[in-house]
Amino acid sequence: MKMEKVLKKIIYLIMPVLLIVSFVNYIIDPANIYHNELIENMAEKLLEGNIVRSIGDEDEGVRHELVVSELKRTPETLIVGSSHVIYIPFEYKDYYNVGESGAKLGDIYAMIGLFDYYNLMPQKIVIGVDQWIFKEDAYSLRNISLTNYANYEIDKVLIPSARNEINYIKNNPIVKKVSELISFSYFQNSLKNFKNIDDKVDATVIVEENVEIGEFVKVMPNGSRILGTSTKNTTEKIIEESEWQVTSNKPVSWLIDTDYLNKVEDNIIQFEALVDTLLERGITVELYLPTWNPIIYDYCVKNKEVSGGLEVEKYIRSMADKRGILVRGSYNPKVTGMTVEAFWDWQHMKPEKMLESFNYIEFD
Amino acid sequence: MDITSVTYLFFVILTMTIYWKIPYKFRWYLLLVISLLFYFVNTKSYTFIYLFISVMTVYIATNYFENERVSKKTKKIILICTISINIGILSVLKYSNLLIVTINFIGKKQISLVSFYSSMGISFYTLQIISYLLDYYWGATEREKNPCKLLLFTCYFPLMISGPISKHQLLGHQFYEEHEFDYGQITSALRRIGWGFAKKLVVADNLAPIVILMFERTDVYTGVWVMVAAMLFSIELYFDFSGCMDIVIGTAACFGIELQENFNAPFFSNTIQEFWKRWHITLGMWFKCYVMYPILKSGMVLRLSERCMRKWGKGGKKVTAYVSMFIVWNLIGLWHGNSWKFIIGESWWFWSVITLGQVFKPKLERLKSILRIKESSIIWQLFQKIRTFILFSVGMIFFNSSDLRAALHMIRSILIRPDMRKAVYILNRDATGNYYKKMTLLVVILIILIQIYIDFKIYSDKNICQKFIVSKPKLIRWGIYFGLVFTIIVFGVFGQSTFIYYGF
Repeated sequence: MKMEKVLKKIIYLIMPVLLIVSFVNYIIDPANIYHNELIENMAEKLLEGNIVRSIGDEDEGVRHELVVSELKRTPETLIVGSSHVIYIPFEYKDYYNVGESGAKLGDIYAMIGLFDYYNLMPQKIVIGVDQWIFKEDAYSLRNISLTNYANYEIDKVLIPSARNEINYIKNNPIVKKVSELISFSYFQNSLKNFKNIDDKVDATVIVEENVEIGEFVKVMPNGSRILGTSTKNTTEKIIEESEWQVTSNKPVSWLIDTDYLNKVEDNIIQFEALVDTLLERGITVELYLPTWNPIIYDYCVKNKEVSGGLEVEKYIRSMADKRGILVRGSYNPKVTGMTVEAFWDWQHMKPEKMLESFNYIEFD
Repeated sequence: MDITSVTYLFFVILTMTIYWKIPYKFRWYLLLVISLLFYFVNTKSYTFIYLFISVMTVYIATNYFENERVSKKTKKIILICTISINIGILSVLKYSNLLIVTINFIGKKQISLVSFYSSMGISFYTLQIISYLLDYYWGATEREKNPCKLLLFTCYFPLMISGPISKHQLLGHQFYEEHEFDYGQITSALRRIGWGFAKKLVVADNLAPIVILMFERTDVYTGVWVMVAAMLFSIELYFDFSGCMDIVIGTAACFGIELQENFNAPFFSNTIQEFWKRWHITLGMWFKCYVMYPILKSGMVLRLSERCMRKWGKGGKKVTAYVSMFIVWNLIGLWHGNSWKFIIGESWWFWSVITLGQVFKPKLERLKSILRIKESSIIWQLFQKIRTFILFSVGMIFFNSSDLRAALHMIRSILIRPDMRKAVYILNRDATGNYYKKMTLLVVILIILIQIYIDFKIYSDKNICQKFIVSKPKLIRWGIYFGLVFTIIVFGVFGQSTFIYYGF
């Protein structure tokens, strides 16, 4: 009887807490997991051929899904990768940029899977290869909204029996949605974004008039984005920030332990399997190595214990060479001629410099 | 399964419910099953072999000890072999790289480091099972006839994270005794677990990034900032470790089992010597009982003591005490980790402070009487506590630096004048940059102040906080519970760190 009394008290304590946390997470929803009206409106405007203002924290995966599922024709070129490809003002005539911030290997599978699912596979796919994509396997996504498309592509590319059921379930969008509802981390994020609640209620999308760089980030109908000056830093600030980042061991996406590729063999196999499958289908594949911040690059060169990321370029050039794949760009800023002045913020180059880096092709 | 996770809470609540439902005869089986489950969920399965070997070697050894036909000499050999096997396993898994680094340094070689995955809590359970072995050998405890019961004593799940290192005569029998369900004890235990969560998730984990920043940016945080960093780390470590202990002791209490306390208001100590009797109490007790006393009672040391007394009089007796203490401190340093910073840095520092304190005690007493300082004066009491805190914090520079060189570099940089503007700017960006961070800092300070009050009152009433809450009307009590839970949820740091002592 007394144990029941204790259990009742625990329930009386936990239930209101969970209810409040769930309520706040659902209403504020900083990552728009539960509220899609704004993104639906964005997608509608983009499909009409408009340039729209980005709201900053919208779910890129949901936006891409809503647009791609309604595309009337297949683009000639598909751009896949992280924020290092999103802002490049490509010179292709007809392309779609399905890049997502911080994209991992699973996101690359998801982005390609999205187009594959809707029978929109292009003639050429350009994959931005960031050094961090090999850290986790293809079942691990930054943006879980496109998990089903990742699984679709994984089933096509990899041996179905090799599917990791635990990760498959863990990454299930419904499971994730429920877990985020009672997530304390998400609750803290919600509280930090409390003042943005009015924006959430108002689902009006702002249509931009031109492609000029303005204060806010803009989204183009072809998925590409245009940087906003609100994220721009001065060179002095970039230098300060970069130095602070490396000495605080913060940029873990760049500071990777040595012998990196030997530790992630399975993930490399998954990446190569995806590329090989695309080649077998007659699709031209190009790989792009976005140039690093020179301060971070030099730090990795001098500090061998965190130089694992540098191994990736050598590996990519070798695997591309074997397959006759063109490799664009280079992680090495000395090679692409990028100084700190070429950077927009400590991570990203200025748009014109990104294009310059993209157009750099190393000849033997 | 992180013990500051919601999953762990559900695990404890579920197993506790089953525990109190089943007859008491079967409860120890349940404890063994959940302890093994906890073990296998938290570590690689194959490491169980190390735990198994430890338990079985000790079990077989005690079996021989009970056999009267086995001679005393043989029993001693078995004792030494069993301890060697257990220490050997710990040494190979934990100290191989220390040996390799040392050989590489001295012999200018380039032998590659090795990578072993060791058992969860190996540093703790090894000492615990050796204490049982020695206590049985000396006749201080009963033999555990059932090997499964010995396994339970060794791998009891709350102890596997960071101790406390428990004596068999205090803990063993509690697993099999009939405990009455005590509503007050259970609710008190749950309150303690909640407070442990707050100390770890809100205080320790919020201080951690500031401490990391100051220890890594030794180019910016020089001069007075070195001591600020050291003192912040001391506070972080205390709240991390004592928070863990609150959760562990609270968890055990949920099953009616009482564990030893590991902290007794350490920052209210007047001397470093007193400090180490109140900080990580069970580790200090273990080394005192099973290393220091046997050394002091050994024939070799007794003979040395006599020789020193003949040469230097009464004071000569202290020489062997200091030598024994030096050995013990080196072993304590070694226990903490496979790096020379723990031994040469931390241990030698504390040994020096304690020894010099003892050596110069008569002179310091004379100085006190000349200056007419009263022992009971509040200013003198405060001075002693602050002095102890500072001395402890200096030792923590070695504990938290990446290696010995980094620690010495940091200590040397006390002499470098800092760029205050730069230091404050970077700190502000990380620690107090926005409104949320400012609020978090205030809450951290509030919890620290409450803990200071609890520690201050611990002399007069250990359970002052519990009594305070229980004495309040229902509305206020529940207000406190909800307040604590929301403080943890709003200001806690989730999913980022384990306990500092989990690494040992």
